[in-house]
Amino acid sequence: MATEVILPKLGATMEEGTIISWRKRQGEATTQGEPLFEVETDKVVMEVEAPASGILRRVLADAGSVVPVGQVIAIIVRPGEEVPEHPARAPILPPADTPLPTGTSHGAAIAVPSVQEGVIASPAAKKLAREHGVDLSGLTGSGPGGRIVEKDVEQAIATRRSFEGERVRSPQAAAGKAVPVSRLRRKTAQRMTESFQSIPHFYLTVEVGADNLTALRETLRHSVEAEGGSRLSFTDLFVRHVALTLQEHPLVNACWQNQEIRWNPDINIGIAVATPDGLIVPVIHQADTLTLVQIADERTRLELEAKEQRLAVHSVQGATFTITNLGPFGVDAFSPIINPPQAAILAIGRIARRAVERQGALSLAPTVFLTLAADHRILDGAEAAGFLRDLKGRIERAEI
Amino acid sequence: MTTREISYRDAIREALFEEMRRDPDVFMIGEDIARFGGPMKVTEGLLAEFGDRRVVDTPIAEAGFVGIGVGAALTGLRPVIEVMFNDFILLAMDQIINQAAKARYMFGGKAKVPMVIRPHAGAGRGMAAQHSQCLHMLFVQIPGLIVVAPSTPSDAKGLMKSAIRSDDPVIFFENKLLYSTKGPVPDGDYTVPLGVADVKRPGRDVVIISTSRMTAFALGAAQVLAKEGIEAEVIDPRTLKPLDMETILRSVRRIKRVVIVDEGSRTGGFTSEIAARIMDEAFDSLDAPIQRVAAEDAPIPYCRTLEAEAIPQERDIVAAVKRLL
Repeated sequence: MATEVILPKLGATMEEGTIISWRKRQGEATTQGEPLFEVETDKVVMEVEAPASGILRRVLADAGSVVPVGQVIAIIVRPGEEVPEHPARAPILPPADTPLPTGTSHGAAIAVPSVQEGVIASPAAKKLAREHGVDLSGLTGSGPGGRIVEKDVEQAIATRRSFEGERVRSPQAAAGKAVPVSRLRRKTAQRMTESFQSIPHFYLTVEVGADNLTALRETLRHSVEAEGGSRLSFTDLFVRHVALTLQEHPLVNACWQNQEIRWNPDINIGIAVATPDGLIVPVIHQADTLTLVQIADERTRLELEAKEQRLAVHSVQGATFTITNLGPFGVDAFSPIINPPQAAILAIGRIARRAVERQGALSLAPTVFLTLAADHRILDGAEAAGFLRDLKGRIERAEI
Repeated sequence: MTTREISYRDAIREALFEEMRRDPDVFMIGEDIARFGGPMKVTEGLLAEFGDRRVVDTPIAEAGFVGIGVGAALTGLRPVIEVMFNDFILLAMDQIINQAAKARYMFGGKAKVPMVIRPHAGAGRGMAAQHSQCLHMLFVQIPGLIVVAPSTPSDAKGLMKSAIRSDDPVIFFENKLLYSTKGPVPDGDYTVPLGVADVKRPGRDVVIISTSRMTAFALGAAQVLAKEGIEAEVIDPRTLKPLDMETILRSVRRIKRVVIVDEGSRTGGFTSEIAARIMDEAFDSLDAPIQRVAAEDAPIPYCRTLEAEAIPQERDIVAAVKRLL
């Protein structure tokens, strides 16, 4: 039976996608679960796997085409099978103006099955997935009609285990060898290169007094833990301060897209998280509307899911501003690379007691260096400086 | 335990002989069972040994002789009634459903109806729509009845002995195409308990639950599948009511893929009932939708070619299994 290849809905807000490339040519054999094509949404670029095994026929959307979600873009038939009659090419929008990929790079590590909505899985598969915390939306079903069956979940669990085993292997074993990198590593490499080469970065650094900030954390730590159960980190406080400051500086929260500036209605803050497999930037959505307890809970959950590689697509999409904190690694200050299409990224260094001038005398007080990397196409120095000045003031006053 | 290879027909006859010798209250009644030895030759020889007071020929009057059986059972005898084709049992439905099945309940347990009715069912002989049905489901629906449908000679003998010894009315479905099939039957007096299923073939990849003659087809299908590396487990419930869900569920929970095969109608049939029970009790174990293989919703055709299309065949079972994997 012929299987239609449909452009899947990869995120709650996705309405169309751009076909970046086909991994198979028309007439070529494909196996269910193999990467079939790469699609770009406004948020992310992803590989989509073949929904069935067979021969790829009737590719209806060439690379570069913009296709609405749910559109049939190709047919997979069994060898020898006739290609079924299909309505003439449904309207496919002309290729997008700009081939420059946009969106966060990090969702790319997540494989997405070709299902439009909901997940078709057997009860046994669902039960096993529930028991092992496997996200079924990340699996491709091998059962009839692409149904996820128990075996698929078992394989996902086994893969996860072997992957975990891989990580602890000593790097010495690879010394002197060229080792193929993970998809995440490759994506990070590609996107960061693109960003650094195409975005005119400029950097502003300020030293911010952290007396009140550290005092505030001490004061709130226990009540936050009591209320939400999560540990209150400095990152949480920075997320809150940044989110409130962004309300007053919407241009810093904007995006560069197709030679235009897009003003984002929400303040969604990405937090760079180092995982053994690479950099992931989970997103705290509408961070300006959340309490500190909610931010701490959300950040704790996202970090855990990032480390366990089970972040949902939604959790890595839609950031409008990014925070990267290398303070815990002992870094004083650093210059980050913008996560496109965002306007800016904030680098946070370590909080340390440093010599400060107070009332004409030198003394030691906790301070932190904040570095804002800004996209000069969107922001000019004065605007970026204004944001940083207000952020500094807010942190020094510990106004939450 | 030593066994002998005997036919399904002979196995049932042995059970009748042994039970009539064991218990003088057991008697046979039905059309052509005495002098003629039974239309399927199951009762051959009984008249000579037990005489015409215990092996009774009747006119063609199903409601009458089934009614005699119900009355005799209420007085303490143990009638075994042959009704020939199960298609003819319909004439006696009031006696069975309103009288035999209800008496024990309506008399507060003070009356009982220890009676066995022996219809034979099934298509495959080109006997057309009124002589080929599988009507067991009509009785499975009725509280108060026990319904049995053995698939092998040894089950047939052991279950017949249990049926005769049961104090409740038992509808004992034989299958006309199984009468001449042979199989090992244990020597001596043994019974097969009512309400206990049997795993006819252990397997790993799919559970096939099959009744009566369909069990032979299921075992044939299992052999075909085994050549492709698919190991099917075959379960014969043997007693359709009460149903041994425990045995079925044990396999379903382990194997998680199920095909149910029955020669009765697909709609509202025995396959529907088992499928529903599995959904109720083992939903989370299912790794695929339950597949049902049953008779088409049509009168059984006289034409042999069409008849074969109307009822399940081995290849249908193989195809159903493949839909699951």
